[in-house]
Formats: sequence, structure tokens, C-alpha cells
Amino acid sequence: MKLISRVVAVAAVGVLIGIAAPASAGNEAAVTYHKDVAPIMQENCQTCHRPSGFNLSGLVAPMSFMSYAETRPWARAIARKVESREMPPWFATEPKGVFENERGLTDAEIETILAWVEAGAPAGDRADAPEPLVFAESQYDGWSHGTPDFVLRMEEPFTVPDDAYDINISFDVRIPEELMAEDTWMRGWELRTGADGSGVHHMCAFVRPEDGQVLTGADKSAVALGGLLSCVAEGGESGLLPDGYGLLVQKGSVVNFNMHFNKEPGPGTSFTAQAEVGFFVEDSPVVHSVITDTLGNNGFEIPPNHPNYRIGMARTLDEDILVLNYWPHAHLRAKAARYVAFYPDGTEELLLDVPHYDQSWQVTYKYTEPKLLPRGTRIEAEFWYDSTAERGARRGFDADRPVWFGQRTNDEMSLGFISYAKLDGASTTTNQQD
Amino acid sequence: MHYHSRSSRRGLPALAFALVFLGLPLVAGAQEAGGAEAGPAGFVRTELALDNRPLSFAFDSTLRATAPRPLLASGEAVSESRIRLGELTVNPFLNIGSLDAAQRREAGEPPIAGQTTVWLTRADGGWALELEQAPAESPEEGEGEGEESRDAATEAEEETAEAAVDAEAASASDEGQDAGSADDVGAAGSGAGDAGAGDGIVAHIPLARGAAEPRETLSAVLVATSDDTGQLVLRWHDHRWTADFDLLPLPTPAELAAAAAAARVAAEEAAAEEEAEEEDEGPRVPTDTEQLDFDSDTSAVARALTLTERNDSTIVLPDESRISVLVWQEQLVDHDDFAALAAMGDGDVVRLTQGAVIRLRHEVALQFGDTSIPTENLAPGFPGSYGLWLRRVGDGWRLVFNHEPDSWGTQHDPAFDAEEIELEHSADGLATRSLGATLIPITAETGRLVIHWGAHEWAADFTISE
Repeated sequence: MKLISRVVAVAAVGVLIGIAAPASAGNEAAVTYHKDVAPIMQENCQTCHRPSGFNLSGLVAPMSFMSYAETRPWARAIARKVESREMPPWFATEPKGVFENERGLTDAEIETILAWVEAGAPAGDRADAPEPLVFAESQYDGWSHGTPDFVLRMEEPFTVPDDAYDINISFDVRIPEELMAEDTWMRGWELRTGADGSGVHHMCAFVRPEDGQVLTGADKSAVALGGLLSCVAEGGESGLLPDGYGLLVQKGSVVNFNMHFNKEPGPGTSFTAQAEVGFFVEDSPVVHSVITDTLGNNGFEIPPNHPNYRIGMARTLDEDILVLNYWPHAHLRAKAARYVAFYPDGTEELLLDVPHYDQSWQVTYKYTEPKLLPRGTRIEAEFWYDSTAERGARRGFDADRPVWFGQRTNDEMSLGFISYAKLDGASTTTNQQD
Repeated sequence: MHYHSRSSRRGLPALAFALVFLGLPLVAGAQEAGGAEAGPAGFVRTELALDNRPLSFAFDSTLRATAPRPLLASGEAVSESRIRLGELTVNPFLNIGSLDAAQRREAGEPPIAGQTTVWLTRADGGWALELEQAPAESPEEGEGEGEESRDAATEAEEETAEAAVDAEAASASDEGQDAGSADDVGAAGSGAGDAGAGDGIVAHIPLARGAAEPRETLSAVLVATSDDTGQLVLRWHDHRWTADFDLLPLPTPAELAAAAAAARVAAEEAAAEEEAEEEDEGPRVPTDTEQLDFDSDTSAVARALTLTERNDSTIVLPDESRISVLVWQEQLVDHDDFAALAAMGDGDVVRLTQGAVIRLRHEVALQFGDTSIPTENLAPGFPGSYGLWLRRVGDGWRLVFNHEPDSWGTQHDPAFDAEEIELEHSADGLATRSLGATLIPITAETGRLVIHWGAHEWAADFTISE
């Protein structure tokens, strides 16, 4: 199910730095690309640094590291980024070892890359190179998790015009009977923006039953739009649910494509997007019905020029749950985020600590094993914001005025997303077998 | 399942999310009644928003009881006399007196919303308020001249009101409690000396009266008595009048969905028609698009969003400066947080696991006794913004002003405490009330902050020091 679990990406920073020394075969003990570096790149970098893939139409990784020729020009930049641990991008300092998509290089791997660059970034012997990775989307028409069982697409492309700065728009598309004739458990879904240009801030997909009533098991569906499937944003990844977990989508449901575009207006910046959701039907029995919900405190007012403004939110659980993941979502001013569990017995546990939040990396922190939180646990989330002029100059917001919850990138958010299943609601069920 | 029912509260962040994150049209009351216009000079405004259903009453704080006011005096009641008190901005969910939003909804009549002129009347049956609303302007009369027309109308009304007051006949018994009825509207509305009055009367609101400490100037406050009910309290001379009101539920999620779907279908049909007429006219932009510029003012949306989470009590001063206290909704008395009040130790602060800390926001500096609560505590040029924490100290209570106004109610950080003041405390309030707070305007320079939860009431007087 999980094709690639470790990802490394290198952001487009600085200028392209050429390598002074030519590659040379060197002696056998020397660190070379093919023998030593390529395995690290395959394991940690190429998932994003390739022409397509987990990259939201190219928003994540601006350059490809699929070959020596592609990697070599960036060698010094790579050395700097891995030495400072900015790359691979992973922002949670705690906890370690519990998230299946945790990224990071070992000290030895970092030393290898530094030694390689220090040696002039030699290619080495091609015969030492590992077999090239084969990514799922190269086999499955660009889908990252195999060919979906069916794909629901916006009926027509939407054009983001040249003069647009910020557009938030939703499209409803009903799942036709020919695609899904019965209520169906899904083991996953993958969202694709279908954009032919940059400027997608996020895409979210919601599903609601035909009659507009709540989706089974999803409190979140008390919203008009239905239950949240997921969102993809800059730096985000898609994924499938763990074995035994599923989401029931009712026959005739409507999928809401919520698209948020944000770009600098100007001639030639127009592009189109025709988003789609690929659904993966669960063939195995489903025990847990998944809900995606948010903690929120959205009536905030962040003052201008404040270096460390805190917004808090919490939820006390009224039943046992199994947490699948967290997605702290905020915008340009956000500088840190944290989730903490306060258990009924008076103890507490740090669930997630992101001391250096970066809006450009919308990371979902996915447990390797779902985390049990018992009834009575209070989950608290906090975000900290820096609205000073110094940050505003770097991030592109106006530091001289207050900011509220809003959809634009230069507005703010404080959404502590959490996906979970109710333990008490567990029951084994399966899709109807033909 | 109504949106504001307790069982649906977990959908609240989701609804907020839908409102803004998803660019859904705002359908709640903030758009209907939130944009109360400033009253004429000297008016103070009391505002109350319960679950995004805002009400606003701007009253004339310069009205003095010592002027010849036979209407206020004891004695025989005389009908056909009235005093203009101010302006009540009503929302489409309001039931008060003969203004019955539920009945209008059932009858398929459009709700009454917007600004109304408030008259104090006294008829045989007792005291009452009348709400008068100018007829809607026809489109061709309107644009560009509305403000001027309204100003002129206001001046005319003021003159008429003075004339009416001057012409008041002598008075009568003020024993009336809950007297008067909707049937009185016609009689009271056609008062002598007020030619044309009654044409626009949209509601007749009987007042209950109680005796009060004499007060020279008029004051008024909108007070929440539950999550869906409240009271308009008026104080003037030796009178204390009250009128109860309640608010219809906001649309349910299903109704929201149906409304959104209907709007979407209508927009698509309109767009299809337009497309048929004008092919290839550029990119198609569905009508539910929310397109914003970098500098677009989104404060109204943010305000509406805030009021889906928090109830708001506000005083608006004659210069339009605002003093507000915002309290997270539905912090009920049957919750453990309320029960914990009884077990608080010396020095403990009240913890709210279900909501954010109470927030005070004020555009003028305040003085609580000897304690100054300045503006600009968070940033230069920014209003005062404080988290308010109740602290148990010995047998009494104190109020802590903290520099983190958006922390959760469990996240008090003493490192950010700014000031502390003594609170008056009583425990004889309405036992069922959720946590709430009210800012009571007393004069244009003074007021009272009351925090209430169940039977508890904590209060402190303040003055405006700017």
C-alpha cells in the first residue's frame, strides 16, 4: 500500500552553484554519487524531486534529482540544506519515531553527502548505482497509489484569470451511478488539482450524501458541504488509510471541490484547473470509520507587529478514539504549533510539537500505528504567530494591520485538523461483493 | 437538530470553516442586523449578539429626566403621548412584544429587520415601546441620497418628538406590569402632537416596570438571560422598565445546505442563460466565487465568523469608540467546568475547557477603581485586548487582565498577567444561565462589567478615562 515513505525535497533557494571540481573516478575509497549518494537520494529525495509525483502539480520540489546530471549542479546547496537539517523537510521536533512519514537523514547520511561535496561531487562508477526507482504514477497515469477504482472530475476546467489575486471557489459534482452504484467503503482517495500553472493554495474535497444529511459517523458533516475527505496544499502528500480503516461514501453522494487560488495578478499569469479525486475502494473488511475534524478558535484577532501571539483551542473527547493524523494549518504569520493531550488521570503527553512552522510545508503527521486517546482526554492545540514587519517583509504580508481568520493567504487560520476513528463505533463491515 | 443546539456544537468549527475557508455565503444574522448605523450625536449604543444574531439599541443619553416630562411622572396615565428614546436595530430572528418573527416565518411573510425608531409610550394599559420603521425606499429614490434623506428625517423626528413631549398631558399610575397589548398599537401610535405617527409602527412592546433609584439620564442595556433569550432593560427617572425577548434559531445545516444548493442552482441557471447569450466572453466565473484582492476588507466576514463562536456585549460611545466583551458560547451550568467553581482553591483561576478565555476589547482606556486598563497593550495603535480570568482569592473574587486574549480557557499563563481588580460577587442570579458577560452603559462616561454564570454574578464599575 505504501509505496514510498520517506521523502526529501530541496527548495529552490539561492543561486545555482556550480561545482568547481570536475567529477573524477578518484580512488575506490572516495565517496561517489552512484555508490554512496544515489541510495540516499532515492530513499529520501526523489519522491518529491522528480518531474512529477507527490508534488501538487510541481509546487513542492522545483528541481529534479533523478540522475547525477540533475543533482550535481545543486551539490553545494544540498550540502548546506542537509547539514542545517532544513532538508528533508520535517518540522516536528517531538515526538520522534511515531509518524510513518517522518523525514530526516541520519548523521551518517549527512556526513556522506558532505564528504561527497567536499570531494568535488564525483559521479563514480555507474555500475555501483542502485536500480532506478519506479514510481507508481509512472505506471498508473500519474496516480501515486495505483490506479483508482474510479475518478471524479470537475465537469469543466476553471480559468483563473490574469487579474486574479485570490479566488476561493467550490464546485459540486455528484458521483454518478455508473461510477458507484452502491454505498461503498473507501480505503483512500487522492486529490489532484489538475492545474496547468502555479497558484493553487489548496484544494479540499468534501463528500455529502445525496439528501444533504450527515455522513455516517462524521460529526464534521454537520456542515453544509459534508464530510471532509482531505485537503492538499503546498508541501502536502496524499495517502491511503491504514488497513481496517475506511470511509463510507453513500450512493449518489455529492463531492464538493473547494479550490483556493492565490497568485500575483498580471499578464500571462492565467491558468486553468480541473480538479479530480481518485477513489480507492476498500476490498478488505473495514473495522473503523474515519472522521476528519478540526479544533478551532477562529474568532481571533492577531494584532499588528506582535512577535509572539498565541491562539489556543481544545476539545474534550466524549469517547475513545484512535487518531490517525494531525494537520496543523495556518498561514504566513504562523511560526509554531503544538498539540497536547491531557488525560483523565491528570497526566499529559505532547502529541506534536512544531516549533518552526512553515506555511509552505503543509505537512500531515501520520501515525505509523493509530494513537489511542481515551474518553475524557482533552486535546489542546496552540498556534503562535509572528506578525512583525520583519516577518512580513519575508513572507509577504502587511504587518501594520490586524489580521483575522480568512481564506486569503495573507489572512490567517488556526485549524488543528485531526483524523480519527471512534473506537466504540468499531464493527466489521465489507463492501457488497458482486 | 438546530445549529445552536448543544449536540451540534462540535460542528461549530466546521461551520466556521465552511463560512470562510470555503467561501460560503454568510447567511446568519450578522449580515441582517450587524451593521447598525451610528445614532445621532449623544447616542450611546448597547449591542448584544447571541449566536450570531445581533441586536443593537442606540439611545439618547442626553435625554434628561428633569426637563418637563409629564410622561415620566406619577399619576394618571394618558394615552397619545410618547418620547423618542433611540433606535433599535432588529434582526430577522427577533420575537419581542408584537414583533413575532416566528409567526411571520410561518405565515411566509418577510422578516422585519433593520433600524427602527423607538418610542416610549404610556397608555391606559401601562408603559410600552413602539418600534417605527420608515417604509422602504423605492430603488429610484435611493442611491446616493439615502444618508441625507435619513438625516433629514431624523431631524424632523427629533423636532416632532420634542413637540410631542411638550404636549404631553399629565400622567397616571405607574403600577402597570406587563400591561398593554398588540391591540394598543393603533391607539398609542396615533398620538396627539405627532402627526403621521403610527404609519410605520411595526411593533408594540409592553414594558414591565419596577421602581428604581432615581437616575437623571436615560440608560439602556441588552442583557442575555439564556443562549436564546434576553431582556431590554431601560433606566430613567425612578423607572426601571424591562422587555423580554427571544431569538429564533439560526438555520440548520440542512437548511443552509438547501439554501446554498438553491443559490448554486439559480446561479448556474443564470450563468447558463448568460452564456447562451454571450458565448466566448472570457473565463467562466461561477457566482459563488469569492474573489478577493490583497487589500480587500474582510473585517465584516471575520466579525460574522467571530459571532458564530462567541457572544458579544458591546457599548458604543457617541464618538463610535467600542468597548466589547466576548464570551465563548454555550458554557452551560451542567458542565463540569461550572461544577468546579465550588471547589476552587485560593488563588485558582476559573478554567474553561469548553471555550476560549473571555476577551475584553476596548478602543478607549478604562479605569476600574484605581486600576488603569490601557489600550495598545499588544501593539501601538491597537485597541486594548485582554483575556479576562476570574480568580478566587480568599472568600472573594478578583478579575485578572491578561495579555493573551485568544488563549483557550485552560491556558492561563500568569507570565502575561497585566492587572487585577476586586470584583463584587453575588450568587442570586438566574441559576440556569450559561457563562456570559454584559457591558452596561450607565452614562456616556461610565459603565459596569458583569460576568455571570448560573446564579453567580461578578461585577465591577468602570469609567472611560479618555
